[in-house]
Amino acid sequence: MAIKYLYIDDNPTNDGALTKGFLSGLKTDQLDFDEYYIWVRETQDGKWKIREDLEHFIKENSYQGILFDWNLTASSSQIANGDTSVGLAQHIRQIISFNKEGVKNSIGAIKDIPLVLCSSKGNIKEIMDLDKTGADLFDYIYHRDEMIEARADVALHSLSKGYEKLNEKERALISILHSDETTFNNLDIIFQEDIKSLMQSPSHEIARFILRELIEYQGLLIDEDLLAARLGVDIEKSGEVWVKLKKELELFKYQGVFEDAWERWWWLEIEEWLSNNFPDISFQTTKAVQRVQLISGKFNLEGLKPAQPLDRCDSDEFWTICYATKKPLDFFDGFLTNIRTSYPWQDDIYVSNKAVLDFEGGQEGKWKISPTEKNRLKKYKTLLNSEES
Amino acid sequence: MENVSFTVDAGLINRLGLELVGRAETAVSELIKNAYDADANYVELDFIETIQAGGTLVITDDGNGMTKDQLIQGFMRISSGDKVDNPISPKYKRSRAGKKGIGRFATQRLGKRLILTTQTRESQSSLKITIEWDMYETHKELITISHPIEEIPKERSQGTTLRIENLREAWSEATIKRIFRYTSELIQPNYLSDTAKSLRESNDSFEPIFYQTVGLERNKIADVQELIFDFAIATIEGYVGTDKIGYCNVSSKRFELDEITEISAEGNKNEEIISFQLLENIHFKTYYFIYNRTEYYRDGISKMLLNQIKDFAEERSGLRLYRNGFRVLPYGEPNDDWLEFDRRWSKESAAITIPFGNKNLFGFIEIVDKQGRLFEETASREGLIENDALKELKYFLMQSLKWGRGKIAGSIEFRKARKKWVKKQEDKRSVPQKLEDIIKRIQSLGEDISKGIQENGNTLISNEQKELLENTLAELRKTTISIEEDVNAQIEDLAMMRVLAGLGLVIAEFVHELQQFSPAFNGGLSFLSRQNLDEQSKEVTLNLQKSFNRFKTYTSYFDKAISRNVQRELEPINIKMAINEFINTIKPDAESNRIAVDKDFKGFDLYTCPMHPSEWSSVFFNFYSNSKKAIFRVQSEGKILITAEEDKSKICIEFMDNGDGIKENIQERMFEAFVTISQPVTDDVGEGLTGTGLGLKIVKDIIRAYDGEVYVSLPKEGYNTCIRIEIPKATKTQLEKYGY
Repeated sequence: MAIKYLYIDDNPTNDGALTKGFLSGLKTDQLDFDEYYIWVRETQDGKWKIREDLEHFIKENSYQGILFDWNLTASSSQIANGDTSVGLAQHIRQIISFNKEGVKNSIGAIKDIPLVLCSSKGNIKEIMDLDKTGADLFDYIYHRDEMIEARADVALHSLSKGYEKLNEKERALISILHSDETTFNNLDIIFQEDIKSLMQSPSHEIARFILRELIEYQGLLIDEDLLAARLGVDIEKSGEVWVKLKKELELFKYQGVFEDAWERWWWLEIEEWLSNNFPDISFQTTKAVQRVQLISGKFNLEGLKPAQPLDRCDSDEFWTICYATKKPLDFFDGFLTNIRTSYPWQDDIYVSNKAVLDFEGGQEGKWKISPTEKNRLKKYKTLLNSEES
Repeated sequence: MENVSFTVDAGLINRLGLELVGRAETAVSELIKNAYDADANYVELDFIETIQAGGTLVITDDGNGMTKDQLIQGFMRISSGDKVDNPISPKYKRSRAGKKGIGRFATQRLGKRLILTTQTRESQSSLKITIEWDMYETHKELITISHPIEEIPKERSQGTTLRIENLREAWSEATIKRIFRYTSELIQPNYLSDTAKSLRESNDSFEPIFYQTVGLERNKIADVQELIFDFAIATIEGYVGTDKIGYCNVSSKRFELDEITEISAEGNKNEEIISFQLLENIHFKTYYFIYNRTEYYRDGISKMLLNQIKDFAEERSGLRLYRNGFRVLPYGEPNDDWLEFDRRWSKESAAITIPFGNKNLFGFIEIVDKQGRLFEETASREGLIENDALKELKYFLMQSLKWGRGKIAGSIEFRKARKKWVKKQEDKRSVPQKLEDIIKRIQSLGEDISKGIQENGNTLISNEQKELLENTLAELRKTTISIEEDVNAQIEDLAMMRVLAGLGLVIAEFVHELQQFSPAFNGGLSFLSRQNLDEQSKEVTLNLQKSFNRFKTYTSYFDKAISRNVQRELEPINIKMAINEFINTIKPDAESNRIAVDKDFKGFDLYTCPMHPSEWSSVFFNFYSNSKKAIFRVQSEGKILITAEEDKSKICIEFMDNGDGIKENIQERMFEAFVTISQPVTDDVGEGLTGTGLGLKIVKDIIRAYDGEVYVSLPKEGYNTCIRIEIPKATKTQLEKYGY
């Protein structure tokens, strides 16, 4: 049965055709929207009733998620009354987190469900960045235009399924992360402590931690780009062979909550596999060509292509990726960004020399180079100028 | 038979005085010449209480003075032959300049009483004679009138004092200045530098000094020329000493210059300094002026003063040559281009870089060559014989001035000033400025007039003043009319701008609304693409998707531009990013029009001064649509190149295309309102708004608003049009302020 989301639009002038059109791109066999529910700001008698309405509505229809489509054009009085997407999301989170007696509980008045925000405002992410507490209420934030391309349908579906898992009465960390005891015990000790301590919290708090702190950052888990980089592989050039290789490494894939929307691998397990199979070789200080030779030999793969350094980069001893281009990178050929990591298990984020020069030290709203790197960049530019002139 | 002789009526003296010496100024200058002829080193003129007629003029010199004999046989004898007999002065061997026998009449012309005191170095006492000119009235025998000579104690070692009392005219400061200028004409100025003085072999100098005494105050009257030279923007000075090595110095406070160099004689191949073969004891000093460009002057010079100097230059500029203290004609006369400056540089000086003709220079060249070893005057006394020394001299001067000119032109301050001027030339004065100038002129005229009344006691205004007043009023009238025209033109401009601005708002709203549609399109297309469609429908869906993506690039670019513009916040713009963004946006459109769009950046961190991000969208889209049309007209594979680089404090952006180019006659005007550069084209290129002729004007307005420049420049090879923008770079403070 398809998962059903409630879609809330705050634009009363939107006619059905536009919304239907938009949702038709997200609807799949797996995901459905209870058509849509047009947000009526005020009732006939001028009284605001949406909160109670919404509570009943969610319960009655057993919605498995809410997609807010928000124009963010709230007036100051609306903000004061909490009549905004943030206010509403806050309300929902509250009624989930607290039972009638006002005690924080893992199982609230209604079932915990994912809340996703989307908007046609071009700068939605920047706006939400400024409002951290607001942003934290949502499991994911999209610009409406990018949803189709970003496969938001898969994400929405995955979020719901993940929440179901988290909502289970007998919560088990091992099954949430789908890892075995040994592997879990080998993970960063602080991570272990932190996630354990969340086990009595509402599902959305665990979800937030897994999405934001585990999946979003490279470290314990790595994504496809970084996996390829560390194996020295050029994904595009290798084509189908890469897909084959990924299959070979399927065992090390993250299979915990949200895995179907966010493809990740346990780095610890890959690392262990590497050291078992190539005991005398440090992959980090091995050239991409050799890495690819070793891996190809191991799995009898033909046509696996080594990645080349980006322009203005020399080393192919890749160990990270360029944040701007997602291409393999050796730290030495890049600059640290100002994107701060909050936990020790999260890798620092770098951009390549090329990206730093192409984007002149940053992309608005995405990244900038770290202030600690500013002087080095200056020197680097001076060096290039003198070489080029 | 009775012999009769002519008798002379005493009235003759008066007649002679008035007829031989028509103007009072001539009278004074004759008296100065007399001092010069008497080998004086200085002559002092003191105009005492001369604001009204009846004042006193005292002329004191340190010349040879007169013995009693000389006084009686010379001064007191009309039509004496001394100057005819002795054309050269005894001590300094000066060619006597005064006209024969005019001196005494000059004093008569000037005042009613003359008290003359004179002494020679050898004399034990001074001689004093008092002449009451009123005694020479008609019907009196001339010889019956006599004057007592007294012997009085010596006033000083030598020299003559003429005390002319009861002056017939009033002498205002202006008149005194005029006469000063008039008299200093013929004599080598003393304001060649001290080095020049030391080059001279003897102490042969001559300097008239003018004073004006009012009440107890005695004020020195400054030499107009010296006054003027204080305003010079640069001086170039040089000399060749006895070691025959040439030096040149250029100094300018305004342009922060003070440099000295050695000037080599002709023929140095290896940059080494060659000394001159013949030339020695040469000194020159030139004062450099640029007219009509007040921007070039330190602390600002008034336009009026600069114009006065320009008028003055009409007669007095040029490089004058003095040999052993005397002007050698015709060097430095108006129209005498003996160093070929005008021929060489005046074309260039027209406006382009640095004007450097004879009119721009007040120059004095001193040759000390007592024995005439190096330079000889021609038999006709028309200059010097063209010998090797003269060739060397010309070469030395030419090289020195060339060097000095280069230094001035190369100085940063000069270039800054030039830029300011060039800009002002383009802008012209604004109407309020013009009015302000007129008001200032009337004001200063008023001051002049009231000053004139104070000084002269008469309320009549001079013809000059009257003319100036009339001219000024005429200009005021003209300007008033031009204000009206200006306002009308601006209203016309504004009306069009209002239409466009209104349209802009509608478009902004519209573009924003368009954003609402894109998720719906996206969703629908995505849904369709996931269905099991037949091949044809699949293709249609795919095409639809592509077209939609192109459409989306446009709308999101404009939505971004507009939403940023609404914030009205300026920020330093990374021009490389702005160009990248722009190219990304137009790429699909350019591709479908078969236009290749390339970019070429030099350097990093090309940040412009804080601007609206959307302004660059306007600029680039304007250029792009013009380029598209130009390329369309030649019907070829189009290409566009956008470059960006920095040049000191500027960011320079060039937009080139290989279209049909811009006709030269329109290049100057193309940035004005309502001038369209496009010929009528078919509709498929989209004439649209860009055909209003306002596009480039808006571009210019944007760029100008930030003190930038936009103009048609030279395209790179393979391109036919190049529009260049120069815009100030973001300063360090600006970058810091905006957190870059």
